[in-house]
Amino acid sequence: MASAGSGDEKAAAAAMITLISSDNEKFEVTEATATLSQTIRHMIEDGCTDGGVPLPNVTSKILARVIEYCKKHATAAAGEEGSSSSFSDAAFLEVDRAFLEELEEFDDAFLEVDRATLFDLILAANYLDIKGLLNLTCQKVADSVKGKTPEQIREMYNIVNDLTPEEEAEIRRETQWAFE
Amino acid sequence: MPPPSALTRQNKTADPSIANDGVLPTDVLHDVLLCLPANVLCRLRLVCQSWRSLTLDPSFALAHASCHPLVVGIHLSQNCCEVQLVDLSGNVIRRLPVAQPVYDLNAQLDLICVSAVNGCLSYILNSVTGKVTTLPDGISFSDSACCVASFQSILGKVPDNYDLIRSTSPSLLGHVPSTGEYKVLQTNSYCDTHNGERDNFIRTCNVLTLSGCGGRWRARQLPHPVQTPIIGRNNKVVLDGVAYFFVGQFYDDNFNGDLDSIGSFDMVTEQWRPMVLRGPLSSHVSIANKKLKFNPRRENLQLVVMNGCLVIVHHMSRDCSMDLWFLVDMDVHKGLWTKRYSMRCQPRCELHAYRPPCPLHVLNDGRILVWGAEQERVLKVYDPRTSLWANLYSMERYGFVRMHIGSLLCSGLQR
Repeated sequence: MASAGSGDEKAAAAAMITLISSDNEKFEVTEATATLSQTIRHMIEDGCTDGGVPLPNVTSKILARVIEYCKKHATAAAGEEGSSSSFSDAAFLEVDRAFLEELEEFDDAFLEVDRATLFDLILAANYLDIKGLLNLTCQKVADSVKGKTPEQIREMYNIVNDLTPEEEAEIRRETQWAFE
Repeated sequence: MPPPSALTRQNKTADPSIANDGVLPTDVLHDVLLCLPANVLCRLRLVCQSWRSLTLDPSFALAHASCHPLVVGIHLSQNCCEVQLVDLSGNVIRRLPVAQPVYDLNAQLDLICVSAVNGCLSYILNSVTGKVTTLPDGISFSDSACCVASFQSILGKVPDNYDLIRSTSPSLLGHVPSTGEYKVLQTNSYCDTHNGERDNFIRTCNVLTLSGCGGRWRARQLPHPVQTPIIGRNNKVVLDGVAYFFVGQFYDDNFNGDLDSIGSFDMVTEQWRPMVLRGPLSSHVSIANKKLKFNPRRENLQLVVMNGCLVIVHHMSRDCSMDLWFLVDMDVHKGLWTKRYSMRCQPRCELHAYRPPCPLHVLNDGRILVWGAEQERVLKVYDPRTSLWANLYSMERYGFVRMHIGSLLCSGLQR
């Protein structure tokens, strides 16, 4: 069973997919890496990936980062699957923990980007439907607004305050508890 | 040659100040705001119209409630009693002060009902608006015609109030989905102590419909004696406008019914349902029932609602484990129960049978949220796949904890 399983994994790893960015740059990735994206997974299932997958909404700069993320997380997922049967419970947990820590460090470093890149990553994760990356990047933006006042947020994101003073008063009155 | 849409995209990204003019696409803004706790979102409604309308949207509120589960607990500190809504990281999202110390709590959507120790004093707290309503004291003895009549038929006279001891159950709040009303159910028992002995128990049952100014109690018919509900802390729930209780008088040695049988009160018709619902233990294994009778006070049984299902938790102190039986068919005649989880506590807890932990909710990731109750006062999770427990945080000062199923973003939201 175990050897058959790893054989399948090798076969899956050998299958390569070509992703084409909006500026026409080609990226060769393994199927395991590419299928972290639900969008691409569906395209593979529908058999329409021959000749490459055009991604008109993602630039090469952003696609390179997205692939970097997917490679790391695909490896982690494969490692988890592979280790589940071959280690004792305690050893498995130990390996699992080490994996998670490494992955967390990777994610932290990965998010060290400017705001423009972060937004582009969110848009790409949304378009490619990569749940983990979308959660990660959205949480990063959420954390950056969490402690800010509405005024600071408007400034940060160039948002025009289109609320009337009456509406503002109403919001304060209705959710006074949240301002205490 | 890249498609035209890529060109426009490229042009946009060429100048970052244009590409990020602050307005994220609505679905991305949706995902970002979904990461924030409800109290922060309420403050951020002041940012602009689109942020405000997005966070007021019922479908957003529903998605938010699903990924930010909250527990509601009674928090007691020096001379101060608060009902608190707390997230799974231990952050207090909402505080609702209560004038008197309370010990019992049940929540329905936005409203939380809390009762003081002797049950006479109950409050309804609105978690969205913060409004506190004090319920009127239950019907006094002379108000209850049926009570007077009962005593008259037993004793041939109505005893003086001085000879009576009244004990009132905690108030049980129920939301009636068909009408949108909230109702409260309370039972009183009076006993005559005239001869120094507590005999001649008389019970009354009262219902109140919540209105702006509290409402008025109405006397309701009592259930058949066999179906007399035991309204305690761990054995009463309301689900879809029906209140459920364990039935039978457990102090009565002659009681020979099944201890896991459930009686129900329909909050729409305000009547007791004629049928008793058989519990999972008495309907599955006859041997288990013998064990049940061994603990006639039913400390080893809990009635809870988890994820919209009626659940009986059967605690076994011998191996410190609990079985979670889900009622999968609400048809009283069928009463189909399924044992979905069997969980063994780690480490063993000495008082398992007497102060059992209380399962609260099955989380989106499949783990089960459990309140460690009085013995350890921690909020913890159990993973059925690995059979492992993990503590979330200590809830030392919390007296009673349940799941909050309402939304702080949108009032009256029904899941």
